[in-house]
Amino acid sequence: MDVALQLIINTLIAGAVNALLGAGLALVYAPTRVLHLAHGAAVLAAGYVMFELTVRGPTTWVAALIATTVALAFGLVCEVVVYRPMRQRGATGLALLLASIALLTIGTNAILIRYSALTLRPHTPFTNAPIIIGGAAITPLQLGILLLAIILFFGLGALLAWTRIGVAIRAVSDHSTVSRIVGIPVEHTQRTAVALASFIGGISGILLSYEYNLTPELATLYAVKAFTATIIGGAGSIVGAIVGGLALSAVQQLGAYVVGNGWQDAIAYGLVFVFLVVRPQGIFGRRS
Amino acid sequence: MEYITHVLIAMAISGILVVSLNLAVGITGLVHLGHLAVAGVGAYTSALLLTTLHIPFPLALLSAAMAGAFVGWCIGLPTRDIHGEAFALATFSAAWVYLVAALSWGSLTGGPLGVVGVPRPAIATKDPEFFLLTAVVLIVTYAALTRVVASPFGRVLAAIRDDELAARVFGKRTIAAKRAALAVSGSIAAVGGALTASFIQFLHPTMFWLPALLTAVSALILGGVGNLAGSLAGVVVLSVINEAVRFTPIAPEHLGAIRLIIAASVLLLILLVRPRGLFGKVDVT
Repeated sequence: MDVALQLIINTLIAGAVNALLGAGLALVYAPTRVLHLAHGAAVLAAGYVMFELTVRGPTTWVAALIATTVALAFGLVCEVVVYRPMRQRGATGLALLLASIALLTIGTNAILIRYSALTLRPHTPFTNAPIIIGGAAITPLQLGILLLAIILFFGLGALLAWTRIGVAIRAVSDHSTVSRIVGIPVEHTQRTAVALASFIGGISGILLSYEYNLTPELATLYAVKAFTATIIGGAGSIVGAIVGGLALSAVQQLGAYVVGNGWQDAIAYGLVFVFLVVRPQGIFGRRS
Repeated sequence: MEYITHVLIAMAISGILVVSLNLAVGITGLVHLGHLAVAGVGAYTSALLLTTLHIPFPLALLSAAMAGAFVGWCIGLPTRDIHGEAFALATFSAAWVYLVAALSWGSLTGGPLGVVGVPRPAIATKDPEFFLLTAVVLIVTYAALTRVVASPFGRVLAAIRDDELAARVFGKRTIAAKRAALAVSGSIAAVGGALTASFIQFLHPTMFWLPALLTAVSALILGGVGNLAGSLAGVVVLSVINEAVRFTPIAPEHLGAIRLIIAASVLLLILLVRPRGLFGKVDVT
């Protein structure tokens, strides 16, 4: 019973991580149809910048703001300098995917140059003492990540449902041409969605840096987690990202429990392969 | 002189990898992001057979080619229904599975420690001789692929790239053709991987992971998708840029990262400005 509870808690936490990353990806994919794998680099960059700003001083909100802004800037640059011009020239989803992989590579290696490949361990402002719930342990940081995910999802949901920009994003996601006809500023909306996604990514990146530390390869790992959650759950939908993220973590936790730690990733990505083979049309079928 | 030989060997092997990638991407229209992983499988097949069973080198190459053909064919199994982006992502996941498997299956692959002391063939232990070997393989590969492209089979592949439905309408067995293309491209990639393992005489899972993939894709798109000569041109141009960087005042420990940034930037530039690449006939993007 203890083990089951621990597995559930682990699943929730890892699922929250995957969902946060996947939601950022989904928020970019829906209005722009770009699978923005470089999002992983934005997330990681926020963690690194936060580390650089706080390594010798206190952990401040200002530092967090700056770190998040860096992530936001990275995402916006990708959209404005690369994705948008390519879409304008009629580039296929494939070309955009290659471009995002190129951007991910640039981001990862820029981080590598500036911070080296050594693992950096940020000084976390959370205490490490785990909280015991009914025989299973969860640390305050992990709880924080879970809470952040929940708050962000409700906030995002509210924004998408009730604000003008939210409606615009949903409209552009459904049909960008018709949106343009009814007067919605499509490019502006797309930029805002990317900015919002990168902002969320930045916040996530800061918390994730406390949980997973900092190495350049994490950018690719975050990208793969995001895209896995998105594939399983449905590429255009935030809710899908959440469901997908939880499903991914459930499979991984169970896999780790049954098979042992190294193979859980292989299982997970094999699952993605299977999913793409068996059910890609429902996932990539949303074309306007 | 030794430096130049090394560069030439690396270019020749890159040529082998990119030309075979072109078969899948440029000729058949399948963006195969798992290509380098198949090369990795070939590398491990050859390296492990050479170090544990001490079989003759040509046999190791042959085994690698067969392993590559098999894996390439397996990756082709799901191509019945998925195209374009989904296929690219599926192969990308397959590449990730390769990486994790190579890292985790320590008993077979040595895991993160890699395989040490991969031997070279007896006739080509020295670098210039090894270069001749890789050059010969490249020439044979290039000639064979040119013949394939010009053959009826190659025309079917090009038809699949241009309009698969039309090809089906004309009665061409497109699914079998795609799998065959992936098997051929995979076997050549595997040979390239095996040559890499014997060249560096060391093998590690990350040698065939995302950085290598990005560099290959960049060379491919730069040279022009669909044009085999273009792939060679792309490899040469990218290699020249990479080596030129070595002579600038950049710290050596950053060299690898700078090269990747350059390769990625070249790719972006091409995608933004001239998707056809230098010599491409077709705009797959």
